[in-house]
Amino acid sequence: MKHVQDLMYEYLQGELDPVRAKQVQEHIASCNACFAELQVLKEGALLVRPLSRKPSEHRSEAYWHNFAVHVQQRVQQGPKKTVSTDPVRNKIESFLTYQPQRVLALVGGLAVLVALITIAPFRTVQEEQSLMLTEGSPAGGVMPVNAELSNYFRKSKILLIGLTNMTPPEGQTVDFRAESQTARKLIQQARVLEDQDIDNRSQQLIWALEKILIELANMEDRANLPDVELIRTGIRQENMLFKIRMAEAQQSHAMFSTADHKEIKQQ
Amino acid sequence: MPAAREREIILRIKEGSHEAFRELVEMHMRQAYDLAYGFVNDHDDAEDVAQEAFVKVFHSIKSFRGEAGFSTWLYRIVTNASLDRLKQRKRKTNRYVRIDNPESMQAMTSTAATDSIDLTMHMERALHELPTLQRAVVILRHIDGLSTRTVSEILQCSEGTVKTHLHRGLKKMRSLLQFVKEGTS
Repeated sequence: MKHVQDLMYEYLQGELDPVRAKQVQEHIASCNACFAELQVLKEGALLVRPLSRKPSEHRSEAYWHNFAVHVQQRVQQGPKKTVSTDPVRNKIESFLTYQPQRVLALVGGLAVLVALITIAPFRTVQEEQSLMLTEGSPAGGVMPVNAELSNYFRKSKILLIGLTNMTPPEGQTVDFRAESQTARKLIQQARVLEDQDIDNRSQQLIWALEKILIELANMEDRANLPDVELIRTGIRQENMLFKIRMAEAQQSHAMFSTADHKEIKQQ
Repeated sequence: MPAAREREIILRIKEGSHEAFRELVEMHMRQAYDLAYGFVNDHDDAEDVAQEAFVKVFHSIKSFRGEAGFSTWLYRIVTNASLDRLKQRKRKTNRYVRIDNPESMQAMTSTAATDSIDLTMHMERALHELPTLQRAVVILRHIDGLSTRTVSEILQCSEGTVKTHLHRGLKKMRSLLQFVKEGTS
């Protein structure tokens, strides 16, 4: 019988019929090259075994509940645009597509500048944290959607800043109950917001934030450094704090515009 | 799930039922996500690729004639979407630690955490050192446990090619992970 390299994997997995398996076994017993090859393959196959833990198990039930909803939303948005034949348009699209960080930085810079000039609402993190503890939705009243969004973004920002600045001592765990509880509240707030008529960018940000908040909400009461670091990496990679600041500026601008508009109407 | 039920759902989707589509997504979303993650090694990308694959399923379901099983068809779409994603981010590959680099291997094995080596992390990194097709075959055939024929249908290549890539891929995994084996023995 010729070398049995092609049948080795099936042989190892017990997938061959008995006659074929016996033939392979007999060949391996008499062929040093195939015997050595089988050992190498066997070790490789055994070493890869731990990967059988499924990545989807890292996601929560809430995540999977939303997954199908997000797919349907993407379906409703329609298929992706086809490539234009206009070279100028292509260049612009290519810049927007492949250099999103520059575009974001440019747009962000402009928006922050506008926001600083027109609003200049400077609050320290400590002030905001104290506000967060005392302030919620207005009692008995319905908060306008822009105010509700601003409130949600501000609370999320404070939570993420706190997490980013946290320095847990190596090898020791940190009490995460307060953060998990806040994350759960924010997820609930996001669910309410998602049902309202909000702009697309805010919607995208809420979804992005939700992933981090769900991770936080599902965290053990006492977390260790690698767990915290995992979430921090997510915050950094998604550039979350910057995106939140941008959204806040946008919401503040929208609220001020509405207020100005009302004032003009009253006059 | 029974094939008859799946056929019925697919028929309803072809007639435009969003409800049936949602049911189909819920049945296969974890499977699609796991497969995409095997390729892209990143939760956000896996989510995006899996969702993108389902959007494609919705828009091209009319071309699905049912000659192969739906899972095989979906696997093919997810695999192609994952490979496209990898091409797009090829320039970013440096962010992964190359474990065949002796210095990085030393760094990984000499940390204080050596006692509790995260085997899964090493496996995932090693897997992403494999050439794309080898990786695809190792994921589909060895990790997901699909048959050689199904993998050949998904990747649209011969069964012989699948066997060759699997053999080479597992051998390479063994050499990449030799240090883990030595560390634990």
